[in-house]
Amino acid sequence: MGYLVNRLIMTVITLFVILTVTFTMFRLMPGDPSVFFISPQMSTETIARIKAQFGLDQPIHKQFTNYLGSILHGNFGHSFFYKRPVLEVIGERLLNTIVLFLPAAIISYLVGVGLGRYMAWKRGGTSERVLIFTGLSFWTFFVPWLGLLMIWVLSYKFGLFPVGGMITPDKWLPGSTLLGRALDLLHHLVSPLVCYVLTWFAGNMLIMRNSMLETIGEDYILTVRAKGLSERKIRNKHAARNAILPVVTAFSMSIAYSIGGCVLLETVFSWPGIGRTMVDSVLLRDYPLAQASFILIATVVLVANLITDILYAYLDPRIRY
Amino acid sequence: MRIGTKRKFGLAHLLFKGISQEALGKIGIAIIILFGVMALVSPFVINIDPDVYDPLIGVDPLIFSSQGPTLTHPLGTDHLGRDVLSQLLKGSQIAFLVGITVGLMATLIGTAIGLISGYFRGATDSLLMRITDIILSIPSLPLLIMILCVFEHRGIWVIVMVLGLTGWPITARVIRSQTLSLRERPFVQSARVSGASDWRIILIHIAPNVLPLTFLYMTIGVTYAILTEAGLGFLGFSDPTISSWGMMLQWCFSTGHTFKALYWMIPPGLSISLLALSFYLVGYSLEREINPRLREP
Amino acid sequence: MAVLELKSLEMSYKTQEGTVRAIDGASLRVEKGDTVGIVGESGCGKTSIGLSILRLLPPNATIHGGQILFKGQNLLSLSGKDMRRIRWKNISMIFQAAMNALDPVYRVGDQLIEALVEHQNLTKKQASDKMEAVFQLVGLDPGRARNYPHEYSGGMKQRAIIAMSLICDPDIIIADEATTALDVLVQDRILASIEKIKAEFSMTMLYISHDIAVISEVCNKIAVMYAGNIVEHGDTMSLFKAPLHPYTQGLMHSFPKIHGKLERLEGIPGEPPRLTDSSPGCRFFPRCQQSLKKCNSIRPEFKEIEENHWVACHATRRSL
Repeated sequence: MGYLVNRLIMTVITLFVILTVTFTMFRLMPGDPSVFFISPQMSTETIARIKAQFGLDQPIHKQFTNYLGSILHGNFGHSFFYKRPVLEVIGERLLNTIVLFLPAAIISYLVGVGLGRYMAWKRGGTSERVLIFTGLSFWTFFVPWLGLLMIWVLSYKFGLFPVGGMITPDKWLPGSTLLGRALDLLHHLVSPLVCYVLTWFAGNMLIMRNSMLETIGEDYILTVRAKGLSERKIRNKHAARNAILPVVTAFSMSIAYSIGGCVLLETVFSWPGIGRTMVDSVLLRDYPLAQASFILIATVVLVANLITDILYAYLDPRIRY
Repeated sequence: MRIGTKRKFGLAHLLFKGISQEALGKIGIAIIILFGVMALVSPFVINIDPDVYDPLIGVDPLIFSSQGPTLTHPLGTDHLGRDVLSQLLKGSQIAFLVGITVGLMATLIGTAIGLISGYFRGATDSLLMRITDIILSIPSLPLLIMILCVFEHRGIWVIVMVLGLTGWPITARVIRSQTLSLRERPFVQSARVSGASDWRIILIHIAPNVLPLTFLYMTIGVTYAILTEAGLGFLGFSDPTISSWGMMLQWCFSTGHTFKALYWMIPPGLSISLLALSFYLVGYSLEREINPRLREP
Repeated sequence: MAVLELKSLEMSYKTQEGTVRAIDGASLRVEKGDTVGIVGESGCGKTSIGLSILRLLPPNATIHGGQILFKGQNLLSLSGKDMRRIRWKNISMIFQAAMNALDPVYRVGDQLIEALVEHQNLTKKQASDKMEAVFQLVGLDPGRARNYPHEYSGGMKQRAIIAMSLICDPDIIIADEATTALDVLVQDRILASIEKIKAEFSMTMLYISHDIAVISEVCNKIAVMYAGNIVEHGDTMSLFKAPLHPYTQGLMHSFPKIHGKLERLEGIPGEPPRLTDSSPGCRFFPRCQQSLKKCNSIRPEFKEIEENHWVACHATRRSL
């Protein structure tokens, strides 16, 4: 229990740090949040009134507590560009990102662990060397470029998948079936998902392989072998079960890095997700939207980290008790 | 981890052996040399005729749109008639500059923090590791985008600094755990008993023994730097006054030439991926030398 | 028929420094109800013998000579599958607890049951009853079976490992440094438990240790090992009273006697040879003070000199 309470406290502290950093950054950025509404022709009173509307006339610590308060209430302000509440703009996009990110994370993990286990068990073969080289190549592949190559081959040359986007509007007209919609979404999801998994699985694979090789040398593996268990049971029930622990830790740590892939992939595949929203809004200097996007991306990572930590506690009795 | 007390020529020997024994390490070195040569050749190509071959402002007077490979432009030109090969060569210089500098910076910071944290333990350790954990759980690319937006003029050095100052946490964690185990070894204990100061023990007795690991994480840091700078470039957040590979791909993508001008789209992406891979291959070979359990029996 | 018999077993490891002849002719008999101790310095090949019997050697090791007979059947000629059936069911092993021999992610009781259900067709209830029975036998509270290894003390882990070795009622148990890493008091209590169980079930054991004091306490027969060879094998009593091999004599002299008059302890001068060297002569020759001319060139045969007392030494044979 102590472990989970600890993780929970750390998550809250991290969230606070993220909110503080965000607050500071967006106040340091060139151009006041009010530039969108203020033009030189305005009278000083009008400017003062607009500034007061944004709370910019108040002392900085007051601004900060106001900011914290409104964010904790889910109020991220109004988007300058869309002229709508930020949450309205962003809510759906957050969901779109999760639709891409969650399966990518799970598949990368499963594929990586499966291949790593296989590699460690079949040491020194050609298949191991091929897998290592392929894995490392994909791991260091420049994500947007891989995306572009995939679009070129799969969509442009062979027309197998859409060039980008998340849905074909024609197929989502009123009266379309749920199955039709789901298939359409899946059709759009395949390319970015495959691209994501290709650039992500190798990390898990190599860590699993190394961890498995370390575990195979452990004494308790000798014990279970002496007990007369079959190689398959030794591998799956004992070696892999123990080897998986460091992989979960490393996976948890890689989430914050890997979500960067979302930002890049959403741009390449025109996926209407939160990463792309953040990039666009920063470029447009739509600060409330950019700020909210960043905070929500960071929150997704924190929640994912927390889930993997809970999973870890479940997997390792030394932590649980 | 095979880390002894005294090993003569330790690091040099390890590097040579680790990299040269592995086929993958050799491939890595070969690719690094290839791009190194490209970086060195860059000024000579520009000097053929700066008006035509300067990666940013050199424009072929006869070409007004992106055109395929010719004798004068072996990799074709971009939408403004600038030479793609010249941009690519210049990009190699920038990749090395960013990669090596960031790799060095991040590794130095990470190693220092790891050594201090692991050696002093206690409150220092807790504080430093909590900070490390927090940085590790903030999404790096979005954070970098946000930090870079604070600067009105994003020079390449700003990007290098920001990447270097945020890229150290993993190294710090690994060096810390290594230091924790090293500080209990007899040779460190005996140094402590004989009255050596803490800093002397860290620098003379522990630091040399984490050096192989430090080097390993530097290669990973270089890979991280190259890929991240390229990612920032591709999104339009890198130094716009430099033809880095990420920017090249961004120009190609944003002007809609992705599938029309493969001679323009392929080279920068391939270069980013290959150079990133090469450093990783070197690191991978090194890891197998440092940790014998990973080698074949 | 002997429960276990080794006939001039030869085994070597391939390493970067060359081929290490870790076992270079080892012969041994374990009769039913015997506890045979293998004693020798670290690195002499004792542990390799234990692992060879269960065929659990690492991949770089090969057995290239001799036989391992279990109830007359050569284990070396069995298929992998048949060998797997013999492990634990017929021959089990007690590992060092300090070796982290229990899997950290499973409950201790479940690890015992795992061995049982692998070899016997039992219901859950039967298996768990059996597990509780062996827990009690070694002096562990069956209520602790639901705990994980990290919740056990070193002594408890060792008891659990002993319980696990008993669970399938094996014909012979191989104990490898079973009490070495424990502190003296715990070691004593566990040895007492082993003695008790041995007497109760007339267990057959092969007890491997570098600690001649422990060996002399537990075993009724001893095999002395030096640099991959078993150089002397016989009753504990006769070995202690009248050791025949010069190495055994040195070994006995390097131990203080608790009873009897105070003597100056003598060590054996010199170092054990590197096992990569293959000289044709006796491996103890460089350190032997009773060596003859031929000792350097001819390997002495392992011969039964008295009844149930084997020695491999040219000098000894002459003295009889």
